[in-house]
Amino acid sequence: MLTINSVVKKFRRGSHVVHALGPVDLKIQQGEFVTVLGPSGCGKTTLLHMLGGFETPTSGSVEIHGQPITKPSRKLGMVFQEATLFPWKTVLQNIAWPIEQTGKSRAEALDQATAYLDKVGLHRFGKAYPMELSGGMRQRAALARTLAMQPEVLLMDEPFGALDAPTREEMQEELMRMWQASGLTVVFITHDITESIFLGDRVVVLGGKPGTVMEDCRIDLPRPRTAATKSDPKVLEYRAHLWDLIRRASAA
Amino acid sequence: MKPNLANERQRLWGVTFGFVALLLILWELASRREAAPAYFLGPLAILGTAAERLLHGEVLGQTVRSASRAYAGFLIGGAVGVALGLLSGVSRTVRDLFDVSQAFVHAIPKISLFPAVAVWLGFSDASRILIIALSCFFPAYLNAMSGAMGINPRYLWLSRNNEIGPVRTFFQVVLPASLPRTLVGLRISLMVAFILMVATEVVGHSDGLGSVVMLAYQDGDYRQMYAGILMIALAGYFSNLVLERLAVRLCRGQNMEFGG
Repeated sequence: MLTINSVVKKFRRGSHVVHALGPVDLKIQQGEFVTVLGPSGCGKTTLLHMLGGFETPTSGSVEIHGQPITKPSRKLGMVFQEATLFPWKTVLQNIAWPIEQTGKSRAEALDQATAYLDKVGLHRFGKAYPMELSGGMRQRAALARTLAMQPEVLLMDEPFGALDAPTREEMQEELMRMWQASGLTVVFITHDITESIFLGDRVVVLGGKPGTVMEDCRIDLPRPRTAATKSDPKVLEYRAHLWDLIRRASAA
Repeated sequence: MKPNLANERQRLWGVTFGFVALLLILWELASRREAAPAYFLGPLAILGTAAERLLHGEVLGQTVRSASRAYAGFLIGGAVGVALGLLSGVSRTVRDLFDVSQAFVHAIPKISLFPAVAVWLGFSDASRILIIALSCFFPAYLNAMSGAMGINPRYLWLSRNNEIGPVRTFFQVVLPASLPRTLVGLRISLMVAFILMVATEVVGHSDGLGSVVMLAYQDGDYRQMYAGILMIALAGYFSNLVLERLAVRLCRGQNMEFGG
């Protein structure tokens, strides 16, 4: 379980202090898929970086199972907007890398990596170098590499933001399929309203300056969700509601 | 896409070799004119002499001596340069430590330090290798540093996410990520090594290709002089070729051009 306790983040920019975020309070249950929706500059990425242990809150605390998160750990797997695969390694070697770090032999790591490669549907591309892949395939490989860390929590920072629309839709459906079988807790940052509804058990709307939680909206769409879910009339209702919120957030 | 690339390459070789052949023919013809002075040798004459002296062993021996100095200096200077450069790239403290001294020594043409070094070590192999190493240090250092400073900061986050310590991160992430830029620096260092090799061999009592060329000039033996120059060019060319091939292999997957 992830707990965010009255977290405030302030940055020093030159001589003045920018109050970027908070106070934010949030509880995320184990196995829950939470999407964080908000306009750019609302502090959602900062929040994610604090959950990953890459930044520390100015005040308040971020906890996993009641333990404060003070530094990055393999329990908290990050997926960045850009795939950031190592260009000097093949796709399979990239996925094997986190496994090698646990002290497993290279052969064993490559063997295990193959399973993750299959899971993201890249089994034919293990020997390819990242620069030979399309953006969507790279992001799949990056996801597989993070899964290879065997994290408890996936922290995803607009991972599909740079993809073209059809690839993005495909990736969303694929992520749903994978997550539903995994039991992972996911915090997924996005500024795409439909994406946040389709993926999330809850959509947390972040907005304002400094960014605070404007609404914590439970999404009652049946699981498992598939491509067909996207045409559910409820999606449109949620969409209209969230649109309204976001518009007011930007106007404020 | 691939066959196209091969065609392109073939066409390129045609153009390159055609141009070189044309230059060589014009040169040869010019050297055979009645009016050509005795010191104006054609490529065939130079090649003939080089082949003949090479067979008799003396030029080959000198080439080996020269090349071993150049390589020794290159390896020492390059290795130290790359190591310190990468460390300076990742650590502000190391960078600040070397910044002023590095910039100051960099501005000195290293050959001008040769007499000063010779005061200690004489005009010996040790002093020559030291001067070559010092010259090779700078391109290696500066490029490795800029390579390490320019790596994607997310790579380091990735490393932290995997709970990897600084030493492992250095060897598994920083080193390979900076490699393309580092190798560009090493290729400059290699060429600098050959320049300083010759420069240190024409000064003081020495052997090696630099002194072969200089002595031949003093004796008016122009065939020998050109044979020496040809060997310097060949040694440099093939050394560069080997390093270039190595660079392309090591940087597979990293989008980097290694032209020239």
